[in-house]
Amino acid sequence: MVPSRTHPTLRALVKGQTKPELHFLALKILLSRLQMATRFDPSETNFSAQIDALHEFFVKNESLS
Amino acid sequence: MNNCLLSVSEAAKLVQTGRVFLFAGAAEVLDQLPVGNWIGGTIPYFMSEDGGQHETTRLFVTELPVAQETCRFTSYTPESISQVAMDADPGVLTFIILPGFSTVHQVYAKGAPDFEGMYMRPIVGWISGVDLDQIGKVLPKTYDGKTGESYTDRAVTVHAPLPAGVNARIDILNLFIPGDGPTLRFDETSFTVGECEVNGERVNLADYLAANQLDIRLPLVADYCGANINASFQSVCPETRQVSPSSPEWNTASPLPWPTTRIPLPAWFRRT
Repeated sequence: MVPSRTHPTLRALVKGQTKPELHFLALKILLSRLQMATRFDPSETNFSAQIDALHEFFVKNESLS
Repeated sequence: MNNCLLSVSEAAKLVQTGRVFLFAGAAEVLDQLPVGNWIGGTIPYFMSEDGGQHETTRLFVTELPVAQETCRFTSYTPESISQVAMDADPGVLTFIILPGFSTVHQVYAKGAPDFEGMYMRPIVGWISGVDLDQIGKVLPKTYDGKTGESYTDRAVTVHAPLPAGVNARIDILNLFIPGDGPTLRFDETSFTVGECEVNGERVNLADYLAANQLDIRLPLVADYCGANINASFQSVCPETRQVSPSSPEWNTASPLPWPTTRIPLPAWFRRT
């Protein structure tokens, strides 16, 4: 089951604070882009949007888990 | 006969079976294939069981293990390519071939990360090309085998539904790894590069490569959370002092020296 978008792990991933070993290519590339986007625009609004994008990715790919 | 080089007659026999194929080869041989369930692209360089080969009389074939009656063949213009991911339903694996150095190639290279659905639908494919001696003289092509049409500025795809319970996992095999060295940053994604930043210092890239006698046969390598992505050089022109990458997605900065490069911060997010 995918955690809610408010789960702190999602924020930590987008911030780059946690760096798990990833095995899914699309997730590696997506996460890199989300992290870069937050460096370019560190506003909370943008940060929230990047977390939404990451959460959507996990929801739509849940069947692959 | 799969993932191998075949004669035109052998390839044509496969097409006539109605099964779904990807073909690669010179335009002169692709032009000879009958219509059927296939897409193709031009390129004369192959990796076969005999190693790297330059081949202009045979075709490289890959059979897709999918049900031909459920596959959908589509071509995309530069204006429509942004829909490629959303055109695939859940459970569909998309194969795509784009003509090298074309507008649709550039649109895809620059914009694909932001296309709707891009990380939710598996897409795998390649960029068609031509003999290195023909770059600038002959345009790479793609082929829609269903219609028999060939294009210099359209991507061709086959959207192939996978069996229930089967998921596609796409990954990259890369012979190169990031390493140590200065960091390069580029102002934009482009097919030509003049200036860039090397460790924060503004330089002309062609001059920098020459001054440091760097081997441009080796690519830049960027690390995307563990995914090593290459950006290779096509040519360096000393007269114009321009560097041409093989693909326009040179928005990643990578340290030198070759062959290993370290994680850059992609220049696209620092674009002015």
